[in-house]
Amino acid sequence: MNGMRQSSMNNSNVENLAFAKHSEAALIKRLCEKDMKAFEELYEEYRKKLSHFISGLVNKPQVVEEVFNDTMMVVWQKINDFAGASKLSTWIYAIAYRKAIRARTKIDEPVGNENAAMQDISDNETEDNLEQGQLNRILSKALEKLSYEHRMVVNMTYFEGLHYRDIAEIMECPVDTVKTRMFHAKRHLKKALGGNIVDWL
Amino acid sequence: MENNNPTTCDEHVTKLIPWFVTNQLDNEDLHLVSQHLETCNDCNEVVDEERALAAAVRHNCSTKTTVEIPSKWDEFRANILNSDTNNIEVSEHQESDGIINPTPSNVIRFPVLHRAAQKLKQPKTLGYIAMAQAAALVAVISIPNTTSGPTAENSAEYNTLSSGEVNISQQANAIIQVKPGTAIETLEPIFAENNVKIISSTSTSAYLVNISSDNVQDTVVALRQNDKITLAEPIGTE
Repeated sequence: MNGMRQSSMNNSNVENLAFAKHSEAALIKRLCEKDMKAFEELYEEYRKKLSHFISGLVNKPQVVEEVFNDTMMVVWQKINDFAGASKLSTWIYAIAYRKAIRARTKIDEPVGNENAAMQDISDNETEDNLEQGQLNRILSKALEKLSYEHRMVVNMTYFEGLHYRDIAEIMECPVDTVKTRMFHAKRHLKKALGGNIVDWL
Repeated sequence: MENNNPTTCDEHVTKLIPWFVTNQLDNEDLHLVSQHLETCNDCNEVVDEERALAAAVRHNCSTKTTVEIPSKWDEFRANILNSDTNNIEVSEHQESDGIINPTPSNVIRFPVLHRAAQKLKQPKTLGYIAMAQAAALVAVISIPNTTSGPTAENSAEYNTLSSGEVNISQQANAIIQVKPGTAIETLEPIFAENNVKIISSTSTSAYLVNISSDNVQDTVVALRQNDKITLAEPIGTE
């Protein structure tokens, strides 16, 4: 059963989690000491991680780069204020999210709304037995039609692998809002993909 | 008793399924979902469907053309240096992100350093930035008793290692910053090995140095490899 499989995986990850926490504490200590090499490693790691994350909110390459640089500058300047209440990655994502939203407002990028998540994909795109390439294109369209709040919850959950609590912290909203956004976004995506979704397994 | 109608399933449980399939649930939530899945066939199907959707989104995200941020570490490091020099300005004018303390405890407040850097700062190139910072450092050391600068009472925090007769601006050709708390005894062999002579320093672990080498740039690059050194930049050259 799904439940038993998950439970066993969860137990086996406990040691890895403890190791990750230890490594993160060591990294934070080095960053607080203004260790330039540690920061360079962090810069390179998050340059890759945040490329996709920020691109989900702003499109222009120059703006994506500016948001990334602004984010890393805040990390450098405020690392001593990071209290460790959340994971370091959550803290960094939260800074990037706010910077990106602010940049998005300044450049008048279309801001999604709750109704956008409910827009329909045309019927001829939900035929059965679609090739994976076609499915991927339909999924792209469906994701684009989501409001940015819904799309970011989907991306952060499935692609970034974040916990709903971390997502709530990043987006500064209650955890129930995250769960509800995910519920509506999934309904829209499943409708767009029709019965072909199981083909991905 | 088997539950085969997902519409009657506890919404609290079904809304956790996305994080169940990505192995993100903590023990309490995991227990709830696992227990429910033992008796609900329909929700087991939902889980399989959810796994497929997660895989599809991951695939979509990984194949999607996203903006690749170019690596401009050297440029960014120069900006960091600049921001450190202007820390007082940052603390006073930084826009609030709602998640950071607007008055951090680690801000170094050196008004003379700040003003000197402001006057000299024309950061068209990395060389200019380093020159501005070095010149600001010189200003602090050589004018320790200005009204807003370090007073006689606190001048002890500035450790000028060279004699007062030295013309710093002529001898220093690099600036080095080390990890806070790094003892001079630790640095001496590193500096000796690389023909680095300390011209002056401050309590902020920054050193104006003279590198007696045909290629200052190569020595600076070598110094950066040492884990005690957080910054090494040549000054006075483009």
